[in-house]
Amino acid sequence: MKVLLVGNPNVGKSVVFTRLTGIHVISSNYPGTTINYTSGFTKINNEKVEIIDVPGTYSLKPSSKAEKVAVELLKDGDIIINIIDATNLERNLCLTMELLKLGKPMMIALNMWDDTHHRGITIDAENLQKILKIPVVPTIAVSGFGIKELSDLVFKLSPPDIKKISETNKWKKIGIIINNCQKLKHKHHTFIDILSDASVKPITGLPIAALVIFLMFKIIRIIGESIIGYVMDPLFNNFYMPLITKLGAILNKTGFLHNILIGKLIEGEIDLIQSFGVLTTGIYVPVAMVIPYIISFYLLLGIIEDMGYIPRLAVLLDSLMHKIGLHGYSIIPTLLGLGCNVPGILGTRILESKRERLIAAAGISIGVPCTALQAMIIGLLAKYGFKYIALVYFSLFIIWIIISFTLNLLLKGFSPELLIEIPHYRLPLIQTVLKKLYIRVKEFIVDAIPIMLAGVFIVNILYYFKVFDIIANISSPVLKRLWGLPKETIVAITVGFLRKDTAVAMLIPLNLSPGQLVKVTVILSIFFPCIATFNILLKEFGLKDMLKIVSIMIIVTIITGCILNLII
Amino acid sequence: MSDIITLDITEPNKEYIIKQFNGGRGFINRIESLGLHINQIIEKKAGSFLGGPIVVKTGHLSIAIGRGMARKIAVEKVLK
Repeated sequence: MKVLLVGNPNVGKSVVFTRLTGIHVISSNYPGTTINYTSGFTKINNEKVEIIDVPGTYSLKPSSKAEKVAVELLKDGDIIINIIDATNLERNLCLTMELLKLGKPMMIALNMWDDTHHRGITIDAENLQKILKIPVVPTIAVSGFGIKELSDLVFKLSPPDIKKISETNKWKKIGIIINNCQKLKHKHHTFIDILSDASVKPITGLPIAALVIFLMFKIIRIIGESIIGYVMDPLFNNFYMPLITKLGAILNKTGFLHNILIGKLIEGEIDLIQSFGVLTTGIYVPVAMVIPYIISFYLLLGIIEDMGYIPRLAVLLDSLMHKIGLHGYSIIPTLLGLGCNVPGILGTRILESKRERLIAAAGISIGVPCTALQAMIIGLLAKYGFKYIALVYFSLFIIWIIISFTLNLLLKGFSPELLIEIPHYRLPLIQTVLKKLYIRVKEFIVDAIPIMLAGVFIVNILYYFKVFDIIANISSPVLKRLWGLPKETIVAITVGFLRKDTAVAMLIPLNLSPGQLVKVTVILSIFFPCIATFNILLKEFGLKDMLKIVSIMIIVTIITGCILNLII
Repeated sequence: MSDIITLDITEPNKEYIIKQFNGGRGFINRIESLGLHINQIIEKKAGSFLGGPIVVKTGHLSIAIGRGMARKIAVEKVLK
């Protein structure tokens, strides 16, 4: 039996899902966190029940891909649990009316029940139940309140008995329900209300946005560097290095196996970054250099997501984003892309048109560096000074704008206007922030580290058979004349197809000048997506559009390389 | 009737009542499913910046609406 959790975006469906199934999914304080559905099994009355977390939708007439997914899912669900944000009863009932017309057994979870009290809202749940003729259960999903009642009722539901409601009568009917079931007490403006208004008003909102972004970057760096300096480096230097040294001695410091596992010796010593063995660079780079930044980036992202700040940023940036064919809401997939391009590209599903999705996805896969890549770029360039890091970011930003702008001119159609709900500010709950962080870091470890280890392994094999020498010789005219880079950098650029962070690690032994490093890291960022991104582009957009994005990428890379070569 | 204006040019922090949606079925569906409907009282909280969206509040709901869409919403000032 299939139980569907259906409701408006951002009402807490995913939290209810977690409560019912014990499976953790990512939730945030903005509409559209769930863009695909998650399903899980649970036992109710000793019977196996499938629970489906349906992406949020405002209506059964879909206007984005995520909403289409929701409508499709509704077709073969057996039971509907309509989750309602109790602080926005009137609006949420609009979808309820549409759901009732489907005639499937249904109940309502009045979620965020606790929030109604401090917002001065009183809802008569019993009366609501009487009018709608379906069970209504007040719930507080984050604490688990009311969840047991929901699962107890699953097998006791019958199809709703409601006469057909016409479109024109819908609001009248909702109006009657509201008058009978809800009382509002007027509340004075709180500090949160004032802050809420200030952060969407351009005059105060833009400085606030600049401050938030600046602080985010600053804190991400501080946390990332602290984890490296106080946790990872001591761990690796004091515990891991002696183990590896012993292994090196056992392997007699030479031979095929030594080359694969430990790699080359740098000045007679093992170097965890430069040796390039599966157990040296293959472990050190992802664990000690990248994970600290993955943790700090996703921690901060999780906090501002749960506070509800991001939709406000979308509103402020909307007019500027329109100039490049996107609307403000595309800031959400773009921010996600700064963590990893894969969820970023998946996140474009919240955008309405395919055109917008394509522009946003091209911008993300070309111009938005993921955290793993950024961590390595910062690690590589920090010693030469901040201006080189800034130059990389600035170049990527310009490229991102040019790509989106050009696509906006080339692709037919126009970008629709912004129409979004702005959620209330909420104080992020530590448990949910940490749980989300755990899911995301785990995803990185599970997805990225095997590819990284395999990448180092394959590269060593290719080195052994001198494949790279051939590639380097063929590509050296482009690299040297057009980009002013030594031919050895092609190895790193090729490896970038597997993982960009591994690729940057390969640049370290080449002793490049800071200027060359800027050029090659920018080229690495924009040239060809890594295998995971490539795969998701193919899945989401199909072969034809994926090839379009890739050809733009190649052209942009060649041009950018030339321009940077002239400037630097 | 002369007091009816479009949402984009309303004064901020003053109450207005929605009178009419001047758009197609698709537009009305989207606006209504977000919770805005005829005879509802709304307040503009932030004006358009460089042609960007405006933000309106009704009850506990805040919604950002593109300026073009806001032009399709006819409202009347609530007299006190």
